[in-house]
Order: sequence, then C-alpha cells, then structure tokens
Amino acid sequence: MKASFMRQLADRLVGGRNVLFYRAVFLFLFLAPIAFLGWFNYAETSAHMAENVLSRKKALAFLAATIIHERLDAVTNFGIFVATRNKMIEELEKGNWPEAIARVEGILPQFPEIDHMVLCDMEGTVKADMPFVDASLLGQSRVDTLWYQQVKKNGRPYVSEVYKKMVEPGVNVVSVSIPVKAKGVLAGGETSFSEQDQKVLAIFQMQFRMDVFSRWLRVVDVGAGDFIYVVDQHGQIVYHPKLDSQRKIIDFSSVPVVRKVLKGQSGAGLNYNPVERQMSVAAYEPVREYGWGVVVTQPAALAFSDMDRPLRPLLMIYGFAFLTALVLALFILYALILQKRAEEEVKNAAAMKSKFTSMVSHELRTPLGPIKEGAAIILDGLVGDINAEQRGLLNIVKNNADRLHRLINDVLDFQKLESGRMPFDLGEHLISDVVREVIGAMSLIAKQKQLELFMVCEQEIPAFIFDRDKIIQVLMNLVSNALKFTDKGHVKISVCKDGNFVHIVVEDTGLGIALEDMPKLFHSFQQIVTLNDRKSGGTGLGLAISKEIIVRHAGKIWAESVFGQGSAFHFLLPIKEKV
Amino acid sequence: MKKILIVEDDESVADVLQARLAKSGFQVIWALDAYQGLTLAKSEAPDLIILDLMLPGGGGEATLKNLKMSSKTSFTPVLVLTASTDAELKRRMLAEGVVGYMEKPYDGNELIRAIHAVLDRNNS
Repeated sequence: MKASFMRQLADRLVGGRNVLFYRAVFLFLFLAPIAFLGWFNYAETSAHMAENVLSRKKALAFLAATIIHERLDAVTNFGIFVATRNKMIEELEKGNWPEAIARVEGILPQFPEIDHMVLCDMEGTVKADMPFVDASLLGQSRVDTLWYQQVKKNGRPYVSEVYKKMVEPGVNVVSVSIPVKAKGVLAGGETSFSEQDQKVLAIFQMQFRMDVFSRWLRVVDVGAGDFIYVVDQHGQIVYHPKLDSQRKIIDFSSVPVVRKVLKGQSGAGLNYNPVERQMSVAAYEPVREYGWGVVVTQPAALAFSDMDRPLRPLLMIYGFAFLTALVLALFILYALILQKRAEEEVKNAAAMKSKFTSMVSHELRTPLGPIKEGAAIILDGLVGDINAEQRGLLNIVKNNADRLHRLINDVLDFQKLESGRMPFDLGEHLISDVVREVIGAMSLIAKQKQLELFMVCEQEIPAFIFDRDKIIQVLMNLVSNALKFTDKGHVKISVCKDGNFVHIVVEDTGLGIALEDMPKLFHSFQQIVTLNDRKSGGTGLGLAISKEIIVRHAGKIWAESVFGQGSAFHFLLPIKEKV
Repeated sequence: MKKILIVEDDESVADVLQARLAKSGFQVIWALDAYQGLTLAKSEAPDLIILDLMLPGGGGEATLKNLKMSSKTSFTPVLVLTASTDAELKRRMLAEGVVGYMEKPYDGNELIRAIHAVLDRNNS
C-alpha cells in the first residue's frame, strides 16, 4: 500500500498531466521546511538583536535623562541655598537691591556655569544684576516672561524653557528662577518657616549658557552614529550635537518622539525621520518634574549594521542547507526520470522481444504445415503406394517436422510464461488423478524400453487448486526426460503431503546428472553436454518451462542426482483451497 | 459430392490441403484472398468454408463477419485454420460462431474427421 503510494507519487513526478505542478509541489515540500526554519531563525535572531539595540538606546536615554534631572535638581537646590541666605534677605527687606546681589557675588567664580544673575522685584522689574552689564537693563519689565509668571503664581523655583537673552541678542539661555522669601514672623516674634507665612520679596535668577548641557552630557558615552538631544518643556532644543541651540531657537515640538516625551512617555522604537528621509531608531525618556525630555537616536541602517555579523553564519548555514536540499531534490527528480526511462526501455525491449518471438514462431509454423501434411499425405497412402525406403525417409521428414513443431511451441510457451502473458486455468483437481493420467500417457514408451513406471502415494491428498494442463505438462516433461535417460530399472513418481505443500518426486535409475551441470539445469536452451551425445530429441526448454510453471504456482522445483546412479526431480505445490 | 471452399493465401498450404480434401472425396475450390473468398462463397454456395485468418486484402476476422452478415452465406459452416496461437483470438472466433478452430500445423486426419463431423451434423 505504502510502496504503491510512493510509486504513484514517483510516477506523477516523472510524467503525465500537470507534471510541472507536481514537481513544483515536490520541490516546495522538500525545501519549505528548511526555508521556514531559516526564516524563523533569522526573524527570531534579528528580532532579539533589534530588541537589544533598542534596549541599549533606552538605557542611554534613561541615563541621560537622569543626569539632566539630577543636575537641574542640583542647580535649583543651589539657587534655593543662595536665596535663603540671611544677608541677602536682610538687604532685600531694606530694599537695597544692589547690596543684596553683592552679597552673593562670591559664588560666581565658584560656579562658572552661571552666566548671569538677576534680581527682580515682584512686579517683574529688574532691580539688580551680576555681573553688571548695562544700566539700561535696570528698570526693565519682565512681566511677560514665563518664568516671572510661574514663580509669581506658584511661589516655587522654576526652570525655564530656552529663550533669547534680552541683554545679549543672539545668545540663548536657560534660567533657573528662585523666589526669595522673607522670614515669616509669628505673633510672638518667632521666626516661621511655614510657607504661607513667608512673603516673597524678590525673584533671584541664574542664567545658564547652552554649552552647560553639553558638558553635563559629556559623561554619557554614545556609540558611533548615536546622538542625544534634549528638549525643553516646549519642545525646543536645549542641546543637540549637530544643531546650534546657543544662537537659534529650534523647535522640535512636531517631532513624534518629542511629542511623546513631552507627554511624559518613555520608550523606544523605529521611526521614519522625514527630514533625513530614513528610518531611525529612537529611545526617549522624559526628565520628570522639569517637563523636559531626552531623545537618543540613530539611523536604523547604522543601528542594525552590526546585526549582520551574527546573522551571517546563520545565513550561510541555512543557505548551504537550502542549496543542498535543492540539489538533493533535483537529483531525486533526475534519478526518478532516469529510472522511469530505463523501465520504459526494458518494457519496450520485452515487448519487442515477445512480438518478435510470436512473429517468428508464426512465420515458422506456416511453412511447417505443408511439410508435415505433405509427408503425411504420402505416408497415409493417399497418393499411391511407396516402397519401404521411401517410407523410411519420409518418416525422418515427418519426425523432424514434429520436433521443429515442438520446439516452436516450447519457445512460444516459454516466452509467454516469461513475459507473464501465459493464461492460467486454475481449478480444483486431484493430484493423484493427474499423475495417473501422465503414467497412462507414458506407459507405452516405458513398456518399449522395458522400464517400470509407477506411482507411490502414501496418503490421500484432497483436491486443491492448480492448472491441470500445466502440471501435466511439467510431469510429462519430467517423466519423459527420466524415461529418455534411463536404460534399465524404473521411473518412480512419489506423491506425499509436506505441510501445506504437495511434494512430488520423479525419480529414475538412469544416467544421473554431473555436478557441474546442476546449476544450469533449469536455464533455457541448456542441454547437458553429456546427455546431448544421445539423440535426445528435446528442445532444451522443457525444464525452464517447468520451472516457470511451478514458480507461477508459488511452488518450488529442484533436482538431486548422483552421476551414474540416477536423478530425482522434486517439486512442491502449495495446497490452495481457494482461487 | 460436398463442396469445400478454402480461403488461404499460402499456395503450398492450399495445395496440400486440396490434395488431402480431394483424396477424401470432396470438391475443392480455392480463394487466394478475402475478396475472392467472399465472392466464391456467394456464387458457389460451398457446404463448408476453411478460413485462414491472416489474409491479404482484409483480415480473416472481417471476412468471417461478412460471411455471417450475408443471407447467402450466414448458415455456411466456417472452420478456422490459423498459425496464430492467440487464445483471445480463438475465444473471439468461437464467439462469432465458427464450427471449428484448428492451429497450424494441423493433423490432416484430424481435420478430415472434424469436417465430417460438421457436415454430418448439418445433414441430420
């Protein structure tokens, strides 16, 4: 069942309708598992590596955001520290603005990050600055600035967005504004530190140049092609390695990752960069409390350029496997086609042979008819009397014509048996009847040679299925051979049951067969040399035909002999009770 | 005297056949091919036809069908004499209604016996 399925499959691949379709399916089935495995492995690995790349970017963004956060904290704390100095508060309470800022003058050399310090009153008017820039600055109003409005409203320190420095156009700054609060005085004259009791006296502001941020971020080691940029609460660039935030206000608020980070989201992913027209990997992290954001970005091509390296062996392995499978599949196809072709050739050759044989035998039979019949008409005396010498010669003609006839029949029979075209007429028969019939037919020849011909049957064998005529043919052949080569003694046919088989032996006391002749006994046209000296009259096909007949009955035939003492031909027939 | 038509293209086969039949007391007419055979079968009204199956000018099978279809010859017994050993062909021929089927080379005495059997059966 399985074999025939495979056979059918192979036939589909070799020829017939839709052969290309079946070949394609075959190739697909052969290659698909490898292709799928390769794709799966490749996708898995590259996804894993992409994840690695993204998480590295995320870590960088987080680190940068933490640094910015911590520094802004530090700066704010420093501002608070400055703004709570008693000396300044005392001067402010007196309204001595220049003296008040002069009290903190000493911190400037210690903190070079601070570009400029300003004191404003609560009406938003600039009252003093340090270092002193211009007299015109004093008295200017800062009511419109965001930092003023925030501090005025909340009474809390405020880190500003990037804005243009008023007194120095073309230079951008970020400022930290701290409310300076008077000491609260309780009813008993005690100092109160609770916020609602404290009155805001002034706004102390420190301005930072933009290069501060690049210094802060210098500690973050970004890889090649990576860069970090920082945006303020409005999405303007605070720091960007490629852009000059010192001189220009650069608005990034429309960039998708910036929009996300301003909403307080963090994350990483692939984005299309419309400016550079390429995909880029970006990780983003908000700077909490200050509303700023940090973005780490890199062109995707660069970010994933390293990925090829571990994937390359993978590609090679699967590529090799795929090619091997392809070659194997094509080889199998080729082998199948070759095999099919060879089979067809064999079939054609067999067909040719059998056609040739039947043609030749037909052509031989036709002229044989008139030869036999012509001689027979004369021998029958139909055309007048003939003398003894004429009769003798005509008998030779007749006998040889008969022999030729037998030979042609044997050749045809053998050809039919060999090519499987011999029809078998299976029926239920008694083997003992068959043997008796053969003995009856051969008894005359046995009597002429004064040989004993008899059957030995030890037990009753029930009727079973076999082709009666063919088995008679076998037995006739074996018995006539035995009689032919035996000069004195007997020919014995023994029939007995041997398990599921009937065992028949034709045994003679004749010449026997030489050991070296045994192997070729059942081959076609093998007349044993030692026997051929005699006028055997055989065709050399009898045993080959017998063997074919027995084999077709699923039986077995063989010979045993001691040279000079006789031979025994055995055959087994299976006892089949149903056709 | 009974009349027998031989349809046989091989001259020597026909000759020995004719010799045996003539010596056995039959009147013999001989056709070389299928066409001649059909014509003679109709004009001569033989008592029996001995038909070879491999003939020039149309196969023996077609000839047999023709004989069986014509009202003049459909009841004439036909005996097939052929060198073919094809069992399938033999089965087909017997199904077509031939009265005998002999393979070449044939035994002359056997043939005569078969012819007598057929003719005797037809007489009674």
